[in-house]
Amino acid sequence: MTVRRILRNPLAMLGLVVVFVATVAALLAEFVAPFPFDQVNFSEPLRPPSGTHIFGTDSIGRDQLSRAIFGLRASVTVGLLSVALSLAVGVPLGLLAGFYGFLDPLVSRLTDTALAFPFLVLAVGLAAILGPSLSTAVIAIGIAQIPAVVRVMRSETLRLRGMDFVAAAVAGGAGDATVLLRHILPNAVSALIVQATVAIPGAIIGEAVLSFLGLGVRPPTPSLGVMLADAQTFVRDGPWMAVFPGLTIVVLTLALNLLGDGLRDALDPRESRR
Amino acid sequence: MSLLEVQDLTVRFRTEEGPVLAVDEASFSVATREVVALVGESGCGKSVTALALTDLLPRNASVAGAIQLNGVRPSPRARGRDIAYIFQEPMTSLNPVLTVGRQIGEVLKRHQGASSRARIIELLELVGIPLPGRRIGEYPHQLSGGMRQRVMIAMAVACRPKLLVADEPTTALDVTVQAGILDVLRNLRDEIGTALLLITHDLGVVADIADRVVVMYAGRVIEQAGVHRLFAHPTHPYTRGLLDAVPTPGRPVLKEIPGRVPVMRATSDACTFADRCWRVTEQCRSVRPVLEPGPAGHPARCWHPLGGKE
Repeated sequence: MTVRRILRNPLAMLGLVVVFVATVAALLAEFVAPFPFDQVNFSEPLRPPSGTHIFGTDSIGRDQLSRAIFGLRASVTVGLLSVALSLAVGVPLGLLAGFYGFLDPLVSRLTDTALAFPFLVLAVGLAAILGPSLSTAVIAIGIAQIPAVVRVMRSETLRLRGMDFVAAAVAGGAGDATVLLRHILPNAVSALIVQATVAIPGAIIGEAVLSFLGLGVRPPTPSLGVMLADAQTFVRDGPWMAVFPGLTIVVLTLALNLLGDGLRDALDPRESRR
Repeated sequence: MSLLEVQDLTVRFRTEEGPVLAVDEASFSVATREVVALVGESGCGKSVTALALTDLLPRNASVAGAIQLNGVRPSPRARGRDIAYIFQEPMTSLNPVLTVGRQIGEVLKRHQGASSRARIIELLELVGIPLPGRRIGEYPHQLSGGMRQRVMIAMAVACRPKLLVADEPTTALDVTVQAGILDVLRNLRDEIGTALLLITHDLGVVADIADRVVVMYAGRVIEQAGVHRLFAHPTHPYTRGLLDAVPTPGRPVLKEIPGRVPVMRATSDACTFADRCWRVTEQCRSVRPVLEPGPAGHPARCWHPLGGKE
């Protein structure tokens, strides 16, 4: 049912195809990219887009397309790992807060506090402690996304806790653990999937921002954010250096958002009577 | 010796609008293999009584009185093992993301430590589900309401409980499906020896399946008798009113009981039915009636029981 509804939604399908292609390209970057990402060619610096270098070259003659493809790897890694981190922490917290009323004020106020914290301040602070790296980006973005997960999981738990099948399970002798893990969590999966599809593009942009500021992936490892940072100096002489990495981020996050919207429509029970 | 003995069960709720007395010193018993119907309008405390048996009431309830199953007070661990429940809404009482087989298997594992496909199929057969081998892998949304209620019953009797509490098990179902479910419940007593506490406001269901009837009104037990005696000689005016409100062929106008069930705040020194009763006297409003044998020989809580000398 769900799958068919996504297949019938052309925008969601477009998003799915783009995301799939980008992910495969990131995973198989060594084979897909026309040049190694660190191959310097001093005879061809700052070349505009051409047949050989579709995205042009940078100030030391590196192929921008290849760097963008390798850069996707950082984007995808951060996107998936940070969301996984936020789910791993946020789901249990949300379950407990929603199920045990006495924990709710504590968890909810902590969530509010975390939401009030500016993302960049948190990231800069973490980078200062951990040192800038891909893992720093993952941790900073993951932590920043925990509150949203807690809220979704908490509200789902509150909703499901009052359902008849939960009452029936309790009357049948089910303990709290069974109710939480077998009855509430599986029924919250669709809401969590939607939350994740919103969070992943956010994380990808977050990675680009952190790398741009030098708090995430460090050169020479390519990342779309690093490429944008490199392009700053040459905006006049080589605008393609900024345009193509920027476009890549835009297309990827747009595709993820389209896919997320499609998933939300497909999984929303209120729409299921259509 | 009866299986379930409830003595002076009193349940109070603390609510934002003040205290509510849901059950007021209710006493009744259920014998082994007996089918007892707990009858009354909505709001008479029937479901609360049933939930109180295994301490399933929400936290704002306080329960007093004695509940004994085979002489011991049932603990929460008795849920599903000694006392099992079937609820009114089969459409929403099954977990939508688990297959029928897994849900039954879960109950078996919880109480008996193991479950097997053969045992699950056996249970599905017991409750009259055709093609159990195929149904076992299906999800609740693939089943009709009647089939889902059968699955609920299969889950409830999976561990051969001593007492099955069925709270309006057929209210949400078509009449034809209802008859099938009642057949299943009847069979359960014969095949696995489960006693049944049936909560209903449908006197047709009561006549069909019950051995004995306990009538509740506004939290009090007001009459109890064997099913034939109750239908033939209703003693309390409320029981009479309930029977008169059942559609009967040849009687074009239904007689309703005027007014509605009061919400009791505290126990009162009056008959709770006084405001709706056509036989009310000053005594009814000032002295609480006691449950004592009436003219027909079975207990009723009324100062002016029917069937006596008028």
